[in-house]
Amino acid sequence: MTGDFYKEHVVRAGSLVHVAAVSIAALVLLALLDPLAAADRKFYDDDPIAVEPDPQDASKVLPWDIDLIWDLSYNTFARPGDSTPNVRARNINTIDEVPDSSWFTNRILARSVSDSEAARGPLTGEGPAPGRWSVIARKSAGAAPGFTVRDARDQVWFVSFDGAGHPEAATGALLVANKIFWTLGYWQVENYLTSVRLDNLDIAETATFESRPGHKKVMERGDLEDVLRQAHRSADGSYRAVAARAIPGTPLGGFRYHGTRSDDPNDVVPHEHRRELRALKVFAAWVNLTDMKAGNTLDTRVTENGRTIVRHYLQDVGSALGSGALGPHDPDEGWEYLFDGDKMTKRAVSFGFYLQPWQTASYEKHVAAGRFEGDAFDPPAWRPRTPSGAFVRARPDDTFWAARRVQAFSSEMIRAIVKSGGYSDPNAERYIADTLIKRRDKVSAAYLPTVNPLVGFALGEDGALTFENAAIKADTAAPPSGGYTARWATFDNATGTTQPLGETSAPQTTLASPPGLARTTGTFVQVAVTALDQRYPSWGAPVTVHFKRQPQNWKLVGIERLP
Amino acid sequence: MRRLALAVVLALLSGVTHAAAQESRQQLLEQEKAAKAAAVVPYEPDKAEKIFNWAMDSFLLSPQGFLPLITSIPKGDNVFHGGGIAWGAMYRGFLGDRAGWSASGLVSIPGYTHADVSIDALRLARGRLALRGGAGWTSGARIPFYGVGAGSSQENQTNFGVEMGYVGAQLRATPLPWFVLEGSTAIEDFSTKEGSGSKPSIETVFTFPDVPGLLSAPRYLHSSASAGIDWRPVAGFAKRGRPVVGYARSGGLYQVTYHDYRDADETYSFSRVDAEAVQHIPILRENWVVSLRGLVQTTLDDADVVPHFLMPMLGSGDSLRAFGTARFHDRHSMLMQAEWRWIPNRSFMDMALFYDAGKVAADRNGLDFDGLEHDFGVGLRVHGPLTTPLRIDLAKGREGFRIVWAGSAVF
Repeated sequence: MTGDFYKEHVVRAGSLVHVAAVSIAALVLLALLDPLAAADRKFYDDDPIAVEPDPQDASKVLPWDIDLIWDLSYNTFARPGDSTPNVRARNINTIDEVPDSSWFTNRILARSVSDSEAARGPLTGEGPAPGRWSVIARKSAGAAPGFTVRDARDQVWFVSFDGAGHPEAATGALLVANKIFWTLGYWQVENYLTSVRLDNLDIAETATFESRPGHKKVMERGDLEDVLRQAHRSADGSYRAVAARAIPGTPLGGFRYHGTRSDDPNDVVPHEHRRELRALKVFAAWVNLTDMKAGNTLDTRVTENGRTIVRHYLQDVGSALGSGALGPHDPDEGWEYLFDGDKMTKRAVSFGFYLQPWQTASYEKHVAAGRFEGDAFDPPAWRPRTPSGAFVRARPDDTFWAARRVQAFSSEMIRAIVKSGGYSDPNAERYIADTLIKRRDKVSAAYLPTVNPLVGFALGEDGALTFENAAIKADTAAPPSGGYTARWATFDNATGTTQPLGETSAPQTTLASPPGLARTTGTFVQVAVTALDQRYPSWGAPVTVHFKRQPQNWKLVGIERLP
Repeated sequence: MRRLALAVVLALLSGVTHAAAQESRQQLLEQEKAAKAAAVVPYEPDKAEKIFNWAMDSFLLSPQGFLPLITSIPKGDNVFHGGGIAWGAMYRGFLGDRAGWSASGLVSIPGYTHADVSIDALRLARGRLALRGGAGWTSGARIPFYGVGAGSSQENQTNFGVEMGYVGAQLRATPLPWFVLEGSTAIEDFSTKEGSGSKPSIETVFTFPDVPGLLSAPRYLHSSASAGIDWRPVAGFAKRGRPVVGYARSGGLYQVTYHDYRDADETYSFSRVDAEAVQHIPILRENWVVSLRGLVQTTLDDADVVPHFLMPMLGSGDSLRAFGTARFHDRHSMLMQAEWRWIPNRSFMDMALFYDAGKVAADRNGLDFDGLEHDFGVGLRVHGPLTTPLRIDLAKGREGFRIVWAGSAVF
């Protein structure tokens, strides 16, 4: 028996050594033969791609449950994900943009979005059907009171309420943030503002809820009343609520902000290196979405055009503006992580006199707005309740990408979106919109000038390179005192080598090309553009752009803001 | 293993061959995903996550089953002092959806023991009524005693032992969220005995009647009734005794409690009134909190004989912190505490500068501000939203320094 045990383990150990040796050999072989590593092209004919393909069948992806406390603890006290520092986002295309995918759909900035479209957001219909609702389950996740109902059209809705004593705060924040994140490009739930009366609710015979862990209880009228007791009741006896349409597909649990889902074949980019997830550092700061745990996300398995894929939702964006599920944000929410060792130590030894802005910031008092302000808001200093792998890895090119989208929300669009929050107090509505506008401008000022902010490159038939300075356009920076300089070179797509062509300069955002610019179809030109101004040292690092000659024009195929 | 090796090699080499053949970015990305498709595996938590989840589910989150306990021996009505930190286990179970039962046992390093079986129904009448019934047994063999009166000497420290069996019920009603009514009744069967440990046993230093109830064994019907307003956000429900707060930075408690101890043979019957006021005053969004507490305990009838172990008492981790446990006993007591708290971390930690003052007196008229014992110090508290699992206070008084290690908030 002992011998068998010994033998089995020796064999297993030997197999592991064998696997490791073969794998290493294969990796060496790969390094030697990989055409990308050796001399493969930098640009393909279909660059820049607009859509990230999901070609693999994901029908075998299994639901999982990400434990809340583990998720919070691990993200708070560890640094999950790739330990390599300063990694450029890995899901961007060759022009530094995020292709559409099961994670993200380019909307604002990428195309024209009207105010009304933004204010409607993800909504495709008219909300729950009027008539009696049948309660089929009580809400089991999250702090907000709520339950699941089936309406007269047999459509399932998840209904959530404002906390008692805080009318319009939680529901308003959810509706506003929902539209903003949809406009930004994230998959969002359809949330409709509605009203519920207790006497309009029936309890389905099959309705149960988990009265305690592991124990299902048949729902009774008293259980329904228990839920509504936590909710804010209007003077007429009704309850203002948000009805969320059930997301299409099979729920699979949330996604983490690091690593990949091991059973999803299409999930190949570590989430901490996905730009749209890193960009949440900016978007969440703007709308003060403080609760960014995995539990507020949702993966669903959907089948479209005969192929099954996993779609990734920011499912619950309700802890935004100044409100949590049951009341206003804690005073430090949005300002500090739940655990910040450095600040904790400084406060401990200073008897609390190490003051932070959240302790002195002033808030205009509106119950519906909660603790939401824009004067003391400092975007880079903003913090969610817990850090995430993507949040801590956001680089200046990621935050620049995000800030441009925030800046693209016009004040009118913001007011239209806030109006969709259904606030009954016009002063509260005005204050929330004003604050979002103020915070938008602070986001722009913080993140647009901190990298070389040149965008919108085009190379004309006359050889003139035109572009825009996004920071100047947003009134967050002055024109560079030293003007703009471009270093031109031919680019060999096969080898990656360059041949200098010359340097041109101009005070404006149009630069002539040097003599000798080749115009043969298929040739590439590389231009490294800098702006010179001591006030903006980061503008001295070039934005490197590549154009490919087409029969009729130059096609922009590459933008590299930060290597 | 061989299949795994084969899969690894095929996946890697397929990447090589396909990458070499790519003519578009689309193909390149598709190939990357095809390589993963050959190696997808269901998610498996790593060892750390498994252990963490097991520990959380087993010991903290599961409302039923066994869980370990690290806490203090319940003091009863100020009886069982000096037990230190106790270890034990509890089994919790459900009785329907709104009630539960538990059985627990504790042992502390000085040899104090506690066993309890109780039934709780905490959410009756739409959450406005809570009922608890239980029976148990507690013993302590090294309970300090220094003599009766404010002039007791530190040099006279003795020990005595007590065993107490009890069975009783407690009702708490909150007709309004901030208005609390409580009533309880219990049979409490005491048996006092010689002390153990390095200090002399009580009967070798003190004699009756200087120390009422010396080595007595009264059996009480103990009834109490209280009324108060309590708008602290996280006030809890003490198993026995006054309400407890896990952790509060705002709100207040103003409560009066009447105790009636009926001795079976009337020898040691007495009545007592406790009046307690707690006020937390947050400053600058709870960056600082001024926390104040006053507590007066007074025996009502001067003719009643109160056994020494049930007399109002001062000196412990939550009263006069720089003085020995149960340092002062007499028929009446008053205690005033003030803390200047600052909050290094809102979720986990606060610290405090504190000042305690108080005295015991034989007559109610003696409860004045003359001759107050006092101390001061600094403290660190690790807390959660509902509990304070660790409190370390360093206190300085006329009898020197003391370090308090406690598993609960001071008030």
